[in-house]
Amino acid sequence: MSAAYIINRFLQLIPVVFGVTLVVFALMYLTPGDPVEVIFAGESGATAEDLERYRRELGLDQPFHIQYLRFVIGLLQGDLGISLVQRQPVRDLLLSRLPATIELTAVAVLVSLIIAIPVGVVSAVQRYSTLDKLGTAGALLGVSMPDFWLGLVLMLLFGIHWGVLPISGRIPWGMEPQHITGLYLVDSVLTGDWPAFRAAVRHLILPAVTLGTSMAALTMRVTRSSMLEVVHQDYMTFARAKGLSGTQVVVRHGLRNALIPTVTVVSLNIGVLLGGNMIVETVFAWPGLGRLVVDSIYNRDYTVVQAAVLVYAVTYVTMNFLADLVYTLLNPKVRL
Amino acid sequence: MRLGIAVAIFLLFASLLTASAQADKDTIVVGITSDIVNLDPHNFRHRDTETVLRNIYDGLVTRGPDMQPVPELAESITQIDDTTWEFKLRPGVKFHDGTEMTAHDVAFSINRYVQEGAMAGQTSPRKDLLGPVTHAEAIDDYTVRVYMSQPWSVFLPYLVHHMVVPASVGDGLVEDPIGTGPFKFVEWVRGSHIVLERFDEYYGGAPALGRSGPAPAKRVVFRVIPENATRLAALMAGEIDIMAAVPVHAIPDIQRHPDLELRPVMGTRSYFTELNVRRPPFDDQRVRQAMNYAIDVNLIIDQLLDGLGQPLSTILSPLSFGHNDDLEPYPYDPDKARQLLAEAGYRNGFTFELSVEDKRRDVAEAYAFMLSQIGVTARVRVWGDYNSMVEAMRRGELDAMMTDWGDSTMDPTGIFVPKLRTGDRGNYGGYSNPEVDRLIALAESTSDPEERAAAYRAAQAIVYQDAPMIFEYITQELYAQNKALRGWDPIPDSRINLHTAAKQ
Repeated sequence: MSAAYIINRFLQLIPVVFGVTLVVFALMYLTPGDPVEVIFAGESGATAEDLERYRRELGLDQPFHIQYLRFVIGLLQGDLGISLVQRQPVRDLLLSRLPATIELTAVAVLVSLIIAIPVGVVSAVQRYSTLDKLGTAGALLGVSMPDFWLGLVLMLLFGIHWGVLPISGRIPWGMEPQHITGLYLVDSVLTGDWPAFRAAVRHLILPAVTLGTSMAALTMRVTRSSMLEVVHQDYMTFARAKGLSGTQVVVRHGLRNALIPTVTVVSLNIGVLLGGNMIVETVFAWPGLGRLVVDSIYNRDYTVVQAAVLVYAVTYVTMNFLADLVYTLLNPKVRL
Repeated sequence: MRLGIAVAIFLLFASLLTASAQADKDTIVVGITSDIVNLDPHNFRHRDTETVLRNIYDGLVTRGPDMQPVPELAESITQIDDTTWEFKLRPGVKFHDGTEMTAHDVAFSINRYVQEGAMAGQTSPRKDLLGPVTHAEAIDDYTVRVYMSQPWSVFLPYLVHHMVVPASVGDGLVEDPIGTGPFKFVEWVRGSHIVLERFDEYYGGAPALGRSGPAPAKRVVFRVIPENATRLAALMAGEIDIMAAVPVHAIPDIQRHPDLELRPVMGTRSYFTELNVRRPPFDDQRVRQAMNYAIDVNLIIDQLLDGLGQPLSTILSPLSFGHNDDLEPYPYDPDKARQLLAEAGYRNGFTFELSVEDKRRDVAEAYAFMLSQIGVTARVRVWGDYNSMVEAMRRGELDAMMTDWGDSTMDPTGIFVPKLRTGDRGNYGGYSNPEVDRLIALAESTSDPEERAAAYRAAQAIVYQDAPMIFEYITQELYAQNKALRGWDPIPDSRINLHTAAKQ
């Protein structure tokens, strides 16, 4: 892989991100309803002067190009603006929610990979076996079940009916491990706080399984079909002819080549999940980014929504970029 | 070997699946729907934030279940002249940091609220909740005077929204709240929960509400659980003791559950359908009255709200100051409605567009059916965005819009005036009656409560006849609680005051 390729690919990101800022800003600007009036709408006691003052203090009385320029200059300095409702730097709000989303995403991806890769490989290798049929049916089920439904069902079963797992939240109040990274699993291990670790794992199980299931289904399908293509290649026959064991052939020679599409799907999925899964985070009262966005939409906190959409777009574009890089590592043909 | 690993993994997982630890008896956990926006009692317009902060901060006055203001930090209240009020403070009240609260703190708190740029260069978004108040001044350690630019008769009902902070806050924002309320702030984990701890030196709160001494509960946790089904599940599993905002469809589940109790309370939000009175057909008073006679509000309440509503004669809550008790809500009378339509020249009815938000589509469709009984065709138009709908109505582009308005002041100035005075900020339908405007002006100019109430009652009678809206209902707010919790009652303004709550 040449450095020029990476740099070229990286430079392509700049106009994309710039375009995103313009679209995001214009969308919020053009959305009907003045955000300040919305904040006070349906509430008693606000006068026109109050609205005017609020607008002035937030710089919303300026024309579009001035507001946009301020927005972009702020962005370049790492300033995402001030929340209209919470009246605090948007960057701080986003950062405070990021660890919860990262932790949930990481565990959900782990769950999905643990399920998807072995099932996908076995289904491909033993095509049309009972296991393959079960795996395929399971994948169909997993893709078809809406997250909010699966989440609620798991919650009712494990939280209420059997009463063995907590219903919602990230950790019981007062049990948070000492803050180092904000990731409870990591922080509790670093500080040796095992009760916190255990509690954090217990709280992670249901949302991670909910989130991991639909992702596992998709990953399993992709792994299976690309594995199917690979198993009949000449080099696989050759490897077997060399006398390698079945497992070695499948894992060393088959899987590595079959993983390329899987990597693409998984990394794009991670890109989506890092934005915070609004549905799963809402169902499980998980204090992540997705919840922040949903709350901000309800509160009409435009600056937060705007910044979050921007972060989503940038994350997605970045994950795409990283997927390309991993691709080149796995597939020598791309190393031009 | 492989079997060993499998068994070990299984045991590890099994060990994670143990009964969730029940919350302890000393801690009351409340499930609220949205996170607080910040910890500064003067820097938000958000109900859940007020709900939480009101357990940390007290004010000069507060209110109980009947919504009438009563002294809290104030010992006595005197109106000196039309624009000056004097408060004598309760002596010996301590802030959570141990310092004594004096008149200087109170004056500072009012000035921080009403003066521009007093909070880190920003103005409090709550400033307008103290309308014409210009400033406050400490006369001595226990006496505060509040000055206004003009007479303002609803000062006390609005003052219940004000909370007292220590003067040491200076010109910054509050991040570590210190109040005089029954609970001390411990921590806020964003998006997750807020923990409060009993303040052992609490003076007791408003005597008129039967409060005295420190709170019985050692700890209070507000947990943010936005999804209704999850909040309900948490209540059933014993993770929370009080559930705010119970959805109507959850009522049977709660009633069936042996440990749970439903706690309804009359809300502060009025529902109504605004009619565009600027153009036909709703420029005719008889047509508007016909609409009111044609809708069976009681049936809607019974069938679509599970009985949790009360019909209104106008848009003012029966609990509100100056409510005209002589006016009966329009009865359901389709014959009368047909007769009025015929008189107005619409013997064969007419067609109009009924705009509504998606969440109330069912009510709109019920309306369309009822109106079809008097020959009127209502085409229901569902809007995805509330603001676009209101904007269109304000510009006079819509025929009719189903909407609502919250008024936690329980005073006509909170809803009646903004919705019905000519050109006021909530008057989207274009209603204008000089006599109503005159009565409102009269009410605003007098400081005699009886005269004020009389003016508003007269204005309601006119509005009732003019029928610029289809008057509907005020809904009940639903809470649910674990039966082990005692000493807590829901109140209409959606605060959750835990001064006297305790678990058995």
